[in-house]
Amino acid sequence: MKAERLGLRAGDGAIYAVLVLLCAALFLLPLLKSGNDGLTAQIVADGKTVETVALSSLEGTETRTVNGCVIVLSSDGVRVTDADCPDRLCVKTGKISRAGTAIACVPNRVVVTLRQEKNETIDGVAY
Amino acid sequence: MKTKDPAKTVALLGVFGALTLALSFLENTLLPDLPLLPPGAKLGLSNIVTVFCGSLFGAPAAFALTALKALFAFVTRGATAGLMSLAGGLLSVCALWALLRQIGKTVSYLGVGVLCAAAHNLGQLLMSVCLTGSFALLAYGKYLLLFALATGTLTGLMLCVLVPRLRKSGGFSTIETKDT
Repeated sequence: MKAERLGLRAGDGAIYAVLVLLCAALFLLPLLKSGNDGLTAQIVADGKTVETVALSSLEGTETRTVNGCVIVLSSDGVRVTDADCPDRLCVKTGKISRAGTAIACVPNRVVVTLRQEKNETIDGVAY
Repeated sequence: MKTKDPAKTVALLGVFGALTLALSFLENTLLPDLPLLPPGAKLGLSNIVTVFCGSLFGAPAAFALTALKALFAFVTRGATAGLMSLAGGLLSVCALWALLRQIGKTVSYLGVGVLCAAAHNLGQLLMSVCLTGSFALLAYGKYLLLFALATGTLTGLMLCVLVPRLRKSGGFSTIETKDT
């Protein structure tokens, strides 16, 4: 299909350029942060932090039930295995294992976030 | 919103309203949640109708359509779905409103489709942050933006092909629009 038949204009290119650059920046910026060690799972319900769990301290799995969401924590990540909300998008999200990612159940107002431990981010010390 | 025949305008708005509801119902029912896509992502087929309606009758009519669609989501899928639909729809029509007078001059329906899709997803993202009180969800923005680029291109191309043909066909030719 030719551009003139679709009636394309210069502004289309500008819109695409801005959105693609923004998208690329959003994908590339997190890569500057390093490592997946020392992950902490933060469970937030109704806008308040309910619990913070250091995943590296876990042996096997631990389960929490918050606002109807069954959250399974293990040393290599977090997933929601069951929820009583209508769309169950939190269950379909699957397992998350990288810092900065999150599982959300909007109807139940529950969010599980993986964070990097602040005090383990020193790369090295020179004398 | 000047028309030769107000009854025709009302009838068409009713048809457009029914079409948006049918299309959003269709994509909620027939399309499964694919594992690779960001959770909750939709094709946005009803956006085709909203943009076409906006181009015929102006932005207020498009606002009315998204309000109707949000009400439909509220009744059939609950308060959360209704608020998410409303936030996405409002931001999407704002993007349409901003570009409406430029269509055919500096932008085409392709650009409009992509920007509306991106605005729709941004609105839903902001609403999900408001509802959960967690800014961590903003991390999903990049996936939603990437997905909006794909779906917006799809709906935008459909608009590019459909709008000139629909305008030429009998039903819409008696309607005086702002840009003719």
